[in-house]
Amino acid sequence: MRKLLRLCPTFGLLLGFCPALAVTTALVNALGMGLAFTFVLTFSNFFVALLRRLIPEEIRIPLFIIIVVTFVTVVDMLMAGFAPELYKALGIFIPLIVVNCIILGRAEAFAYKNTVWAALKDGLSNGIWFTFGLAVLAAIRELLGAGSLFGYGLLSPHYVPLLLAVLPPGGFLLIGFILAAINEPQA
Amino acid sequence: MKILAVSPHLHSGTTTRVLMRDVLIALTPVLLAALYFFRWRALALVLVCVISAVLTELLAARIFKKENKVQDLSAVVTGLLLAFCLPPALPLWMAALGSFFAIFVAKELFGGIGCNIFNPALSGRAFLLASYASFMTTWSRPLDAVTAATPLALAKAGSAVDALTSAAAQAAGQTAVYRDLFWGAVAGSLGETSAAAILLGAAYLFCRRVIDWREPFSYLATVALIMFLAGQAVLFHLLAGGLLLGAFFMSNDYTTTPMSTRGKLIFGIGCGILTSVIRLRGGYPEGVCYAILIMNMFVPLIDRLDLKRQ
Amino acid sequence: MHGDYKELTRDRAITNAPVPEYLYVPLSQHIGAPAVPLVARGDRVKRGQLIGSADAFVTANVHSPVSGEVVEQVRIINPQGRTVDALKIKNDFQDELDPALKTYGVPDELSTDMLREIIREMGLVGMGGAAFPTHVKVSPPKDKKVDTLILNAAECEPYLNADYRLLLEHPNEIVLGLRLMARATRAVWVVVGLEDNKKSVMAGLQAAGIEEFARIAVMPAVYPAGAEKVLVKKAVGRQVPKKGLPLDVGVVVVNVGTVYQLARSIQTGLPLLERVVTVSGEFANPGNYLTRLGTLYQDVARLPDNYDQKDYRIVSGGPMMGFAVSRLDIPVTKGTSGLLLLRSQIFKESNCIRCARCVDACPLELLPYQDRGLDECMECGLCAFVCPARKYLVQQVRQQKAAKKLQAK
Repeated sequence: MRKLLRLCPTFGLLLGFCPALAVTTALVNALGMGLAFTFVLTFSNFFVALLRRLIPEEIRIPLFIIIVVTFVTVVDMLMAGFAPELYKALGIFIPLIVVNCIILGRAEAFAYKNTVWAALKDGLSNGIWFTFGLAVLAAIRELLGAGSLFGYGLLSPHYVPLLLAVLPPGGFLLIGFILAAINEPQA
Repeated sequence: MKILAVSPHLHSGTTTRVLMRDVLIALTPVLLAALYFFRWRALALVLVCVISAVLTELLAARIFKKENKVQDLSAVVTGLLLAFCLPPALPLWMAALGSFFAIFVAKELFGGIGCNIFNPALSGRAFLLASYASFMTTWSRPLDAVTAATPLALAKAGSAVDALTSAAAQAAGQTAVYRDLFWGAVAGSLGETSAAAILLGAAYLFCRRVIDWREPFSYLATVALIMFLAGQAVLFHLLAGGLLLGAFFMSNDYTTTPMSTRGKLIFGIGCGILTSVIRLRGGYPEGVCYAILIMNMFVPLIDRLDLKRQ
Repeated sequence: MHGDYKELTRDRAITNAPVPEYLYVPLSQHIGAPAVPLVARGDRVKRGQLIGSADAFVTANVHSPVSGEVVEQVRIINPQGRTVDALKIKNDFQDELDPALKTYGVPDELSTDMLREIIREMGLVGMGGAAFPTHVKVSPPKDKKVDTLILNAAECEPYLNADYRLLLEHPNEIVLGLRLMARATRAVWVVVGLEDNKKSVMAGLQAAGIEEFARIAVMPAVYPAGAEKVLVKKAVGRQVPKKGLPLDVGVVVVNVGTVYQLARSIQTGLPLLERVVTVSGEFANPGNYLTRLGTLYQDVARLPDNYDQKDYRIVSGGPMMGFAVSRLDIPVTKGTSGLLLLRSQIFKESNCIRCARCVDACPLELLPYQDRGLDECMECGLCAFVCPARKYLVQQVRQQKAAKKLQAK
């Protein structure tokens, strides 16, 4: 479990805290966010790697962002059309994928220097592990804070929800606990 | 056995354990007042908080593989203080959870005694307030345990200040209100209602030179001044709510407050301003807990200020 | 500080300690260059004979405290735990005086230069503990002007009464010595810094005429009132600069024992051969003893029965700044003010709880919990005394000072 969690860029590299905190109040939101993120990351990685010989080094970051924006817009519109409820729940955090540091980080550190096939694989795996990390966070928070998973009540109706778990400080605390558990043997 | 050690070869005898024991002695009047006004609920809450605090400390020592420091009594003090800022009707398991949070998260995760940034008892309270807001704001009247609002909540709603200032409540009613506030026959957290008991305990700590006067007095003076300028009933604001308990037992906690004279004054004044602002303009009727926690965050900064000066 | 334990020996008059058969006189009992031995194995020595001297400015002469025979030059442990050279002398119990000793006539006719020379010849040092050669102290460099002499009669260390007994029993010598010392330093003002728990010595000093030339400044008995910087501030209101000496503000501070010895030396012609040592704590023979230098601790202080059933420490000097010693075959030196047997435990440090007691206690307003400005620390020990976490603060300071010294090399 420890090793699995460390594969997630949020816990392994301490990147992408913003969506990790904001959308993990419910498992559905986390999975939706994870899928959208994986989609964007895979395709942006693919295209960055494809165009890497055409992209001048001086202006690579703006160009990366343009590529990312394209796919974010695609996701944004798809989600608004097919999953309006999820779209409403995720709100600003879908457009914010544009400036997500994991996506830019992979583009800059990996896709820009590697082949198309490798970049595609890298994007996909990073996206999946990010989704996994979000799902773990969201599952714990939803279970504690609402007593449910995917909106279905799992605990007894007498359970008094721990509201803090779904509040921002609860998210921070949980990430802290998970990081502590992951890093403990290194101490 | 012969001992070779660096000078000095004498010690004042005032160890951490002795200091904590003094704080416990000072909290005894408050405890007695709580037991009198809230009866067995007070006893149960205090026991649950203290026991779970001590157990958490033992557990933390186990998990982090370090020597357990239970014998320094600091966990007992934290548990007791946490119990004192909980409403009497709070379910016991919540109190235990708050105690766990106070010791494990706010204290031990930061490195144990002396290393915590936030006041553990207040962190525990803030945790409970954020998690179980409705339970944490359901107050009961002393003695008969009927659900009632605290004086500050009434004041926030406008009725108590009216009661204090309106012609209907004239001099007689006003003294009765103040008498109740002073002795503690009002709704509120276990340990905050009786000003008399708190002052008695604080006086003991002053006599034993355990606490410094600077934080509590600059804190109280700032609140008094702002309330006076805002046209509020100054004495009412000093006596009501957790101000006295916070000022004398939490705003001068050694670990989470500045070390220098000037820093202590800055800390007290900051707490006073924040408390007043929350009470007058904030969403909560009471602001002592958050005021102190927020000022706790400034402590490293305030301490640096004095290092620079050296 | 509540309880200074002085009552254990306060009312015990100074008595002569028995002179042992063998004395171990260290050649370095002072700060500065160690003395070079002038006698060798088998030589006969007389009482007061110069047996060690060095060709340096900062050093002090060493004299034979008894008459007898030099057995050999040995290595011996001093109270600070260092191994030093010492002369082992076999006492013949004749106390034959060295014929080379001079007499000095009327004390009040001695000039400043002569006094400085006498102080140097007699091997006088600061007898409060640091043992800084007195002739260096009274001969300031040309660019420093001395206008004030302070007699350090604070004796703020708990347990110790050596200075107090001298003040009480020998006020005449002290007044004479102080007057001579003032002339030696060319000081205009003379101040006696006295803790308010020793007011009983004032009558004697006044009868001896101290008020003709000196002012008595009574200070509250708060440790460390006798630390030079604190004393200068309290007695004459001058602030010794950081990392500076009292000399920088025109002040020289002298010790009671030193002043007494100066008067005695001029009266009798004998150099510094003996000093008053307070034996206190749980030793079987508490008291104030006039002890020959070079006498081993075990010859002065008697251990009580069963003393080792509980934890104990033997302290050379005062309890706040003295040294815990590992053995009793250590010689009394010019700086040995006390010998204590204290009950003690080993304490484990716990976490600092940031109570700021050390900050409030520090007489120099340092921040003992931080390594800030600790070069100035005089290791008075108050911070560790008040620390609820029982941190070994003085030890930390010493380690840091030592580390800095190593780095500088």
